[in-house]
Amino acid sequence: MKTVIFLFAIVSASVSAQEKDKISEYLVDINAAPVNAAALIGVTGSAIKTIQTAQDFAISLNPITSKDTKDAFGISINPGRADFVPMSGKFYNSSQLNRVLANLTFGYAENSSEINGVLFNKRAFALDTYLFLDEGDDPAIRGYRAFLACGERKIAEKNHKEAVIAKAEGQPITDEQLVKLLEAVGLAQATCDANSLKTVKWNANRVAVSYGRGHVRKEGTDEKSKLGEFLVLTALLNTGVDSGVYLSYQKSKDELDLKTLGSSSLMVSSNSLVAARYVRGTSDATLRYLAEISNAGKKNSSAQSGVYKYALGVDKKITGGVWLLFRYGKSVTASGNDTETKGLLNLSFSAGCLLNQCKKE
Amino acid sequence: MSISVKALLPSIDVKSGEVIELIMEDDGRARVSMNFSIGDSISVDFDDTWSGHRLAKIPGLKAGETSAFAFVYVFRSALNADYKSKFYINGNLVAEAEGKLSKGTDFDGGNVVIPLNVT
Repeated sequence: MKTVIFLFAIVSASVSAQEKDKISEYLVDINAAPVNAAALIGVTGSAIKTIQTAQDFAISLNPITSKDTKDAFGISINPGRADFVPMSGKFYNSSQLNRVLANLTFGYAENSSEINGVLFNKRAFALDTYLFLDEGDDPAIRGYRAFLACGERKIAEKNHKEAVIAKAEGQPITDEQLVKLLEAVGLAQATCDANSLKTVKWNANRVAVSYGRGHVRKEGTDEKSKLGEFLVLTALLNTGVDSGVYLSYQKSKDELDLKTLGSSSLMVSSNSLVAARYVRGTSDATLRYLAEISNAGKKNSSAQSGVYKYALGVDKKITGGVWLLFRYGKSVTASGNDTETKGLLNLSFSAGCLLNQCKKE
Repeated sequence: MSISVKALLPSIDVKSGEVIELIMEDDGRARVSMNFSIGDSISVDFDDTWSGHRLAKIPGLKAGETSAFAFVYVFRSALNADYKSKFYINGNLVAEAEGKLSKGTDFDGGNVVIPLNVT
């Protein structure tokens, strides 16, 4: 298994390095970040949760008892954007189903936690994908259309072409002039691309689905237990120029209560969590106000421990890919046995920022 | 980076007034703009990005034309930046373009002269 993980890591690192160039043109900050440190230790308290990676899944399974998390390892691969499973723009552009396939991401994560004085190793796999309901909102499709509609590029190409032919016919045109004319072609298209991305809507209608499952094993033994299965469906519906509603349905099956690990009787549960969040933002997309509500209750589910039943909040964009999040409301307690009123202040980083692409925003 | 375009045949024989067929094929994975220019009056743009197959029929080449210019402009794609394409005139493979946008490069272009013998 160690060998497999090692090879997987090498492939992942390679893919990640290659992907930076390819997809970064279309990375835009359309949401408060899904990847943040607070989520990894389980203190966001929000019922709106999209499992973006298996790392989120593995740790979200027991945010309270995994205080001593160490040796965490996670990878995420989108095959459609990797060189070894190439998908063409034509394929991506031809149907919504193809875009769902192209956006499919596979993830794996593992970490170790000390529970009741015993070390346990957790491992999880996850799949997720998303789809813009209106293809015109998809940044990749926008790039496609921005290419076709870029009149400035066509003019620049014409200028370059005429100069090349004129030079071939003997006119005194230098190589430096040709290089500048060629660079003007690329610059014209870059300008068109940038203008197209400026109009990307953070609240464009889209849906996402995530599935994850995992298991836990006692260190140094063959004792293995299922962590459970998670299915998360999320939708964002546009309700105005700068507003939207998130809807989320999260289903857990045979979810293991990690507090019972090491004891003679393991406890599992299956639960559903339904939540909605209304968000209204400012026109410059740097400040968002929100209200959310969920059916989180006093249940024996670590997934609902600490989750807000209802809350008000503010998200403030600090810089590209970095958001400050504030929530205040009534939530289920960490123990899951009661409710409490609490406030949370979190700093979040978007995936794009983690890939050193923040400077592009 | 580089996108290099090279001619593969020493010359293409065409009869004056004959309709010639131009085809450009690639894997449809990049945003590409192409142009064929012959003499002063013929200029054909292939701007259908991601199509993978582009076809144009050109009537009426004048006797005495000795060359066609093929231009290729390759832009960063959302999905893949590698590039390779082939150019055909009347079914004959006359030129190839290939290359890869190197890290940090958004764009490159290339061109080649395809020798013609219009009689």
